Amino acid sequence: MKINKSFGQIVIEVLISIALFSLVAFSIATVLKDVISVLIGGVSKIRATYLTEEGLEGVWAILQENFDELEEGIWDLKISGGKWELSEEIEEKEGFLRKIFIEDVEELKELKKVKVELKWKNPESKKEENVSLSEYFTNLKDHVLELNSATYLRGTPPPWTGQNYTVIFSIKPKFLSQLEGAGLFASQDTSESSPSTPFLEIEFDGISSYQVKIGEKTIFIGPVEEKWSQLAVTWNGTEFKTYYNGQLQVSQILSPEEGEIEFRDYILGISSDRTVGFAGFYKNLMIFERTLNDEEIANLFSGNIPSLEGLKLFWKINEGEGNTIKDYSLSNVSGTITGLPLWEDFLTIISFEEAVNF
Amino acid sequence: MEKGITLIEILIYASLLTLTVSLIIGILSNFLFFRGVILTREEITRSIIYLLEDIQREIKESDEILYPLPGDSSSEILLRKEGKDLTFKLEEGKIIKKIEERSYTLSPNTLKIRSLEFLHLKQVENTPSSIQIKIEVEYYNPINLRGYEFSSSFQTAITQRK
Repeated sequence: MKINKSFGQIVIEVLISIALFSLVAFSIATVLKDVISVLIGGVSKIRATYLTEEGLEGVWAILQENFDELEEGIWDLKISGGKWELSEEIEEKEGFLRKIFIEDVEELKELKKVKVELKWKNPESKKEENVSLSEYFTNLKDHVLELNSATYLRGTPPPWTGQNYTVIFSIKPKFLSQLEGAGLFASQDTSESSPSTPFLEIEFDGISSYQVKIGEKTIFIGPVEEKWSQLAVTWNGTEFKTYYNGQLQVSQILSPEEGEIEFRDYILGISSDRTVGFAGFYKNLMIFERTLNDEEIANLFSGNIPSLEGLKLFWKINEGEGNTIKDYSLSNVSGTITGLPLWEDFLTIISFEEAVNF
Repeated sequence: MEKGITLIEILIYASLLTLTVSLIIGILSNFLFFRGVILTREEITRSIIYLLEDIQREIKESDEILYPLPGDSSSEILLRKEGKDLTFKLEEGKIIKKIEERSYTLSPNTLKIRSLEFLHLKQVENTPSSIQIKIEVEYYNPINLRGYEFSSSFQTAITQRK
């Protein structure tokens, strides 16, 4: 047998090539294994997500029958006698462990936080994974009015002069990009009367704030956010105050000629000159013929109704159908919606933060 | 120096060649296997999301659930939505959606639906109906390709919102 130099070189080259080739092959195989692990885990994740959703839907169904059945605690959902039932026995099924956490929310009665958590072991990576979904459930059966650029709400009271007054309402813009300086509220319809008459108007400033126009003065409050906000203004004969979400923002001394206005129209959803509409939701317009103090405004924001003394108007705007808005004050000034009203289920547009703040 | 190759050289070359070819075949085979695994998982995930979302949306927005009756389960559900009858049912391994007289096959040819079950939960009168949905699915693999054998089951529920 003859082994020459060139043969030895060839063997080494071949061995190096095989080593390199094996290294590349091993790397590819490792990457592929990880990809497979993720993909198989992906199917498990979809299964887990649907089981989580089942938990929320079951709780929702129980809520429809009896809200009080949603007791605080950790539960699983079972079917017993053909009905959904919350069970204290939490068992692993097909490798998935589901826990439903129910908590009462102290800040707002009749509101519960429901969190559904699923844990399982990824069959490939053997790592424990989890997915969870949370919702805030309430038994409030309520509606809110959505106005767009073609609809607005108007009520006409017997004219009264506001020597002391408070105007307060809640609003949620639908799309911040579509505000475009739309009008929100006006104390009188300037398209039918002299614009020089003192009036109150709250509208979007076109940038990021609400602007309160009281006669010739303009005061900015806000910011405008794509969630429920409560706006309030008060006048006590010398001082004009603006509030945002229950908190005093601006206080200004005005002369009686500047701050005193004659209420002849209550308008929501369009500017006082009827040129620009507003896309969004409204709720709880209250007008008082007295000056609510800081504490009363803050309480109202927390959902506590103050003394109803001097209440001139209370539109809950929760009718859910039709074009007429009932006035819950003794004044009986009902509102009429011009255009096609769109009523939304309050639950579909509420979120926890908004619910507490509302 | 004599020219030509020796027997040992031939044997070494032959074994190295065999090793290399085996490695290539192994890698190709694994590549095809992994491709099958990836494809089946992707297809099943995508299809299940599409199927269940459609079924859930229609049940959620329906005015009435006519069949199965509360407490019963079936592989078919009949809904009334905006005055029209709407059905989802299992037929020869496929999910069929029927609106009035028009039928559509919802599941793709690559999937075989092994079972579909709608359980209509009992609710007190005048409250929204709730349906538990169970579905078992397998990837269609008539010639038993390696890597393409995959099946899974999914379970969820939906409650009417109207």
